[in-house]
Amino acid sequence: MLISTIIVLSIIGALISAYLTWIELITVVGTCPLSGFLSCSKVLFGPYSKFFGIPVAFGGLVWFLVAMALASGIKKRGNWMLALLVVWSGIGLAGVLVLFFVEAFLVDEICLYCTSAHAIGLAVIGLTFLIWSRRQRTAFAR
Amino acid sequence: MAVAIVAAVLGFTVFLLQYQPTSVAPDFALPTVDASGLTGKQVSLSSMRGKVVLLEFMEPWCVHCKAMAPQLKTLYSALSPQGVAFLSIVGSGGGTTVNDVSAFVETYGTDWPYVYDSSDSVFAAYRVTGTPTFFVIEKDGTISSTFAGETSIEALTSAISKAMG
Repeated sequence: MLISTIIVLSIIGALISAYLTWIELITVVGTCPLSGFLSCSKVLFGPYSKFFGIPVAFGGLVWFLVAMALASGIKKRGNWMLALLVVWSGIGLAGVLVLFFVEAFLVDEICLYCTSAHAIGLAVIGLTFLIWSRRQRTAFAR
Repeated sequence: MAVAIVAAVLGFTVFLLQYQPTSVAPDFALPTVDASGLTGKQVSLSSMRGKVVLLEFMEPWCVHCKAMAPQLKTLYSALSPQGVAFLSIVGSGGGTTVNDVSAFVETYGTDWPYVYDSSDSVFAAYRVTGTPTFFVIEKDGTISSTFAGETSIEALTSAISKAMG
């Protein structure tokens, strides 16, 4: 059930990230759009929107897709897949903290779509650690 | 069915008409901002009648506007002696304040007037949907060229030269 929840949340997070990536890519080159995305313009088109030329939202898309793949493999391949997901979640947690800091203190604007993706990412991370801790307790109990 | 088609055609026509570029540059009067803040003065477009004007719509947080600033400075140095006027209009999109405008002016050391469109009404009048957006306005107040986004200095120079006749 928890693993299925992680998969579903990862799909939703991937869809949001894909949408944000698409918005960044289709926007007229060299323009900061003002309409329809007013609360996200500074975040999506400001100086911190890209990492080595790649939209940050694309990084979120990759993270969610990998998380979904790892979660899908837990049932078949056991705890080492879960261990990978835990490591991946740690990377994701660091990413969310950095991105939130950038939004709140450097860009000084909170993008609703980005925050939704971050919240979903934190939920995936939280569920991952929950599954991991439960399995650890079960292993110790034996 | 026929009524629906007619309604759709009419609606689409109205939609298209709304987005036809206006040929006469809408006049406005906005407060000027320098590195210290509001100057207490206003600049109107009509006061520049008789000159070719390069109008820039920008936001200080926009990475593309920042990229254009040094290039516009170079362009200003070359064209201002020939009587071309520059005016940058800053909107309030993304929460831009007067302080943000002042900081931008101080950072980039620009020499032409910056005005603050706090209600974005001038942005709306010119149908600006992204920044930077440039309008080249002829001496009689008509818009001769429009550029959206980062634009090469060559393109701007060519358009201004064409407007100068």
